[in-house]
Amino acid sequence: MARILHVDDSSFSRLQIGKVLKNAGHELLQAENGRAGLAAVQEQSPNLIITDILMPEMDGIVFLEALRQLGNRIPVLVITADVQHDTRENCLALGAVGLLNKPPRDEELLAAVAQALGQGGI
Amino acid sequence: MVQLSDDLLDALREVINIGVGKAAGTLNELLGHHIVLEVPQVVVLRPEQIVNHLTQRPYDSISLVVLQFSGQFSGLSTLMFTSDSASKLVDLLVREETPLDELDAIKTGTLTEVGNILLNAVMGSMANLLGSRLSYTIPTYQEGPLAVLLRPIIRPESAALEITTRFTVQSRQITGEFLLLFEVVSFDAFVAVLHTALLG
Amino acid sequence: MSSGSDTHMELLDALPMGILVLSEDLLVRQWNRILADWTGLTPEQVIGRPVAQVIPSLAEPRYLARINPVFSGGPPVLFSPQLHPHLIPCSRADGVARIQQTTVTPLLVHGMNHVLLAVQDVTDLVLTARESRQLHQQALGDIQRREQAEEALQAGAQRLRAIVENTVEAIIVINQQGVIEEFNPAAERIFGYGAEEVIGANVSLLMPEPYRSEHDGYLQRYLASGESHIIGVGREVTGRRNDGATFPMHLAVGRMELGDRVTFVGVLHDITAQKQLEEHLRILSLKDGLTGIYNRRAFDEGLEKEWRRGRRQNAPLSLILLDIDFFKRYNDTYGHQAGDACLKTVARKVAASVHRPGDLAARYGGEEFVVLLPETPLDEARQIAERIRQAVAQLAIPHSSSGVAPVISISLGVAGMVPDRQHNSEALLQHADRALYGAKSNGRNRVCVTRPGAEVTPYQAEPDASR
Repeated sequence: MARILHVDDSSFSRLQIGKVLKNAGHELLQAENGRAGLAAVQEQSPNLIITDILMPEMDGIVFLEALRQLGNRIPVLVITADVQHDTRENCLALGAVGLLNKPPRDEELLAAVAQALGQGGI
Repeated sequence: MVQLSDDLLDALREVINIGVGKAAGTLNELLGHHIVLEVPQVVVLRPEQIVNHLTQRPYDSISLVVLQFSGQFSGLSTLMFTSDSASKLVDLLVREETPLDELDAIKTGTLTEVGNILLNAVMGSMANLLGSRLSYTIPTYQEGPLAVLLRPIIRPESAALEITTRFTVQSRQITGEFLLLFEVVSFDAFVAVLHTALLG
Repeated sequence: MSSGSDTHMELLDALPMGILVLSEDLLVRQWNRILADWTGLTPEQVIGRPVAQVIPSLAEPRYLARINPVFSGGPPVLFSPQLHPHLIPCSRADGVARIQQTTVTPLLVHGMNHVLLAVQDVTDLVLTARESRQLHQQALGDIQRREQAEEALQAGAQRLRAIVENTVEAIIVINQQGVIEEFNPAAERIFGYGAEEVIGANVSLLMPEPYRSEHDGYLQRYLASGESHIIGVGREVTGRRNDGATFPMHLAVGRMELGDRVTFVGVLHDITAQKQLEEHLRILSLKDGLTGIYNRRAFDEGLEKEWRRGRRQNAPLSLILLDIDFFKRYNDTYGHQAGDACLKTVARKVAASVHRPGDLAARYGGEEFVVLLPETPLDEARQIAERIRQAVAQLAIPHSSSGVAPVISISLGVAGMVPDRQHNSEALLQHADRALYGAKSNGRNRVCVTRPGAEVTPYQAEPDASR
């Protein structure tokens, strides 16, 4: 099973999504915003990053840009409440492998995780 | 009146966030512009704070859309725009030249529908996540001085959740504020449902 | 309603609005008579077919994304006449595209999720609102330079209009005995009764006393006429709320037959706000833009009304016509702005000097004012005139070029008579005018009176005794 970093400012979302991932046997790391997420990426080398977009301090878009600049090869999955088309396009253009809208259904989340792990060069 | 723990406040913020995210999608399609969202702020107002707190805003005049709901918990879901934001929104939505004498009707109809989109998204997301089936009235629109519009809908025994969420349409600053008003009994019921559904 | 879906069908057909019901698989399940009339598509042609084939535009994602959450009980969706005027594309017989306001609400049929689209034709409402706005614009034009009045107008009219355009229809179903069978939430809100309080009661509960008996007759005539399906014939009636207050409402009645049972569906909305707006605009059109007191039109209307009332009741009617002395010289000396200010001050003083209901002070034109005094004999009117003369003098507005007094003064002509069939109101006005002429030619700053029967000789002016 994989080591997954979940970046979201909402403890509620971290709890909900974390529960599903843990039950599926994944190891879970968590961060409250992009800045903390970047530190965790460097220190803990996860297999997959899941990030929210709308966050204080460093939002998901800046986080994605920073990851790209750092030459990140870890797959990134975006889970956001923002359903706008251009948000999706923007995230994919910044290298995200997929985007789910909040709140994701459990099977939808696990399928996306499995697909992202398959695509990533672990 | 029961207290709202930090965990519950956070959960509620996320519920609102999901609703506003949906609304942004619909607004984006209507406007043809990207909507930049900000993290919603949620403040609980106790009965004795409510009137003073709400009427202290520095607005001369507001546009107010009100949606009544009832069920496991009952109250009013309201959306406020400053008159400035309201006018900008109508300008963006009604792109063609509008005869001055029809502006009021257009403003009323347009803002009622925009309010409907935003309030529906927030209430719909809330009811879904809480697993509550609520019934609703058709939204109504009013404009005028803040205190004049709010006084009749705030009862002495009301509690409120003041939810401020800013959304920017391109370079124009258009700000809307949600306000959820409950009677205290209903507020307690709401907190209980929130707790069971989200953290239970 | 108590019985099954046939009842609903009849009810839907009787409603004066378009009704479309969709099941969750987006098939058309109900299509009422109004929609058939509007689109030319019969229920047989559309029921059971996908909505995408019947109204392709409605199946676009931007509409479905909003309608879909309603199936599972989400808040009602509103498509405004401004952003979505032609949700169901169709035209009236005169070729005008119908402007619609559509609400989408959840509906459970046999435990299955459905949505109900209620489509109101607001073409006429929009046109009426446009007319009322034009009236508003006219009134605005009259007082364009008068900031105060303009602000009052806008604040009031905008708020009222906002309310006018957001009414929600109440629906009440009654049987042939007038017993209420159905009472929707909008009706609860409008009348202040809960459905459980009124269902089973007679509909006369919702009507104020003078209309209750009339209503029974109306119902009987309606039954006797044997006409079926009179749909959407609207009229204005008076309703009565739970607290006893009465209010104007617009009512359209439909009739439906279920076997040998006849039921009536009333769709109504509260038009208090609309009436208030009309009244507000009417009052504005009767005010003088500069002084804020009544204008000549208001006076003309008041005079006619009081003349007829005096004739019926054999009561005296008096009139004071007054004029500011040497006002032209005042303007020349102090400038037009001071002149306007002086007119306003004098107008306010004149208006403040009459108090009884029916008394009316108006600007007659230029620097001329008029005071109408119903049920007032001539002698009393003369005393009132003298009080006005003194009150204006006491304002002590300096007028160095007057020649009559160092301050602004007025001349007043008083006439009074018991209105009769041999004269019209014009006669009274002529008497007052002659008396005013008398006051001026006798040195101004005084009150003159014409006595009854004075039409034989041109006038008989009396210098004011109290001076």
